[in-house]
Amino acid sequence: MQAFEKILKESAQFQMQLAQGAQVAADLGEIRVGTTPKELISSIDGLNLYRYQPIQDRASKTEPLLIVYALVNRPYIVDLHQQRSLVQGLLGEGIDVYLIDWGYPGPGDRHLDLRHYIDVLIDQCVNQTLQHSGASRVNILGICQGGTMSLCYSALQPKKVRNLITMVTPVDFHTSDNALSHWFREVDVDLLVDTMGNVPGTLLNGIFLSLKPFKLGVEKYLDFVKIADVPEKVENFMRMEKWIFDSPDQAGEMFRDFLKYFFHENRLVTGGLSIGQRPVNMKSVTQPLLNILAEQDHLVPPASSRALKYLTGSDDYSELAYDTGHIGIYVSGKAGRDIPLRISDWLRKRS
Amino acid sequence: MFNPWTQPNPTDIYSMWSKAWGANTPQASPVYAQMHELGNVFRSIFETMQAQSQQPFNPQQLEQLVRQFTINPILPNFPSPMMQTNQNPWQQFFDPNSTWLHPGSSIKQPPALGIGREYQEDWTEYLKLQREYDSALREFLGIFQKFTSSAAERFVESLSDIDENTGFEDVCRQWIDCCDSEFLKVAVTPEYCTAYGNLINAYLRLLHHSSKMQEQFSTMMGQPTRTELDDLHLKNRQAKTEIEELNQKVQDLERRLQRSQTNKRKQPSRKAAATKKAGTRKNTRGSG
Repeated sequence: MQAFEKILKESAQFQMQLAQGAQVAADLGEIRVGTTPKELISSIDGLNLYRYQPIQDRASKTEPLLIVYALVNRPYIVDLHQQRSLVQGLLGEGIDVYLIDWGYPGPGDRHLDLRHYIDVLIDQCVNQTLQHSGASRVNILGICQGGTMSLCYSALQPKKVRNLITMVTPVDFHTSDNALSHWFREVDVDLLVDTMGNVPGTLLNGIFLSLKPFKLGVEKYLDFVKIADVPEKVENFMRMEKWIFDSPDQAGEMFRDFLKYFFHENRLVTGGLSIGQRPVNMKSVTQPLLNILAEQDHLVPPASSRALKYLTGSDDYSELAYDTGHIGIYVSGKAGRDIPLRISDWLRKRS
Repeated sequence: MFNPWTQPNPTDIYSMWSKAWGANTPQASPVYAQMHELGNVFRSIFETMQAQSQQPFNPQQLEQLVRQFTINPILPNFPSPMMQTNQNPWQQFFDPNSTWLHPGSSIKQPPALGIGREYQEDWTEYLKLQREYDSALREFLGIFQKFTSSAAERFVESLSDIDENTGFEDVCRQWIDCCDSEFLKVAVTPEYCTAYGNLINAYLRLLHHSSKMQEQFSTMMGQPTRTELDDLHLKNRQAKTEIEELNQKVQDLERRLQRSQTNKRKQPSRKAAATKKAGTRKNTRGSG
């Protein structure tokens, strides 16, 4: 049983390396994220609309691109740091980038519902973007839950949206491999919201991590020891940790609507979705569509995103699939380099 | 080098990780607890392995150990009022071993009178919900035991391939793969989903009822309640929505007014148009 002795020795070494990593982490100082310079365009109800400072010699050749991120987790994942920034890539391609930062809903936001988010907040951000850029229409990049909301918005306001890009966006919420949907369908959402008011971000984060508890909760620390003595790499690791655990609470009524309409009733597929008494018909989405998805996505299975192809009224549908996961699509080297180029190419052909 | 896992006092470890994680990224503070747990898991697994290496190999004992560690990182952070002790005074108060809480116990039988009766009903309902929650938690854990057994069996089987070339990392990854793949098999089964939903819903019913009771106490003490605050937030939201709608109407009216003024400026006035017309007629006549 010499093998066990060897493993035990290595396990002691592992603990030493973890300790060393902790020391390196302690000496790092504040972990900074989202470092690309940006200008605040407007603030509405705790939400901020930003415009990223364009790179001077790259004149914009397309309509402005408005990024609509999900309400869970913070949008700075698209600009985590200079070497891992979707925003930097897009600016480098001469795209004029605006971003909605939803902020942190407080108790006073508990009654904000899906209608308010789509009809008021997204619409006001689109109007502000149009006014600020002088364009007559925007391109929208909807990410994850933000993609679902962007689809609804594009169906309701087709004249304001030139092109729609969805990224790791759930569309069909009832695919058989969607564990999150299977779980959520069993939860009494009325009881949840009536009891908790706003839904705690930490609770949702725990649920998301428990989809792959050992890979997401344990394996990364095995990888951590390999980089534990390299401060730059430890800093990158800490950046991701910061983002993963930075989970805003969810406005209660919005969460109720989202769970009921999409997770429970799958209304984008089955129909019957109305926002502010106006029917949302997927066939009204006639804009050119670019659907970007991750083949290893455990949160939004690829089949859930791919359903978009047959649902809308658009006759210009393109799809980009990457062999990565839900988070890897923002930060992996290959996807990070390729996605801005492909988006820019696709937009230029449709401007 | 300071090794936190060899320190006798766990608070030293936490303060170290808290310094590393808490100060730099407060949002990531749960991480240090997780890492500490992970270090302990690995150490314990391999210490046991080493102990076993001195004796004849006992797969059952190892399987039991792995099962115990498999359950740790995965269990949702649900409170377990009846399954743990020393939680808080209220949970001690509702200890299932206390005789007065059992159906048919002597204190529950005589109904209280007047206002006391309502409180008695509330507490009885609370107790009922707590038992329902406890039963849902047991059902959920039962499914977990099945999962941990199959994961542990798979892992122990894979250990038979260990040789002098196998490293610590290989074994850890093997353990992670076994656990995750077995979990994924269970996670989408109707049995697991139903148990998961039952657990959350039972917990929420308990929380909902205890919040209601807490509000009653707050009302008695003349304190504002969450419902009152929530109503204020709702009124505030409704007022904001009305203001937004009125602003929208004002903007629409302003736009319409602006349009009609622009149109007026573009169109000549009726009098001017009539004069022009008359002048044209005169000229026509004159020329004719």
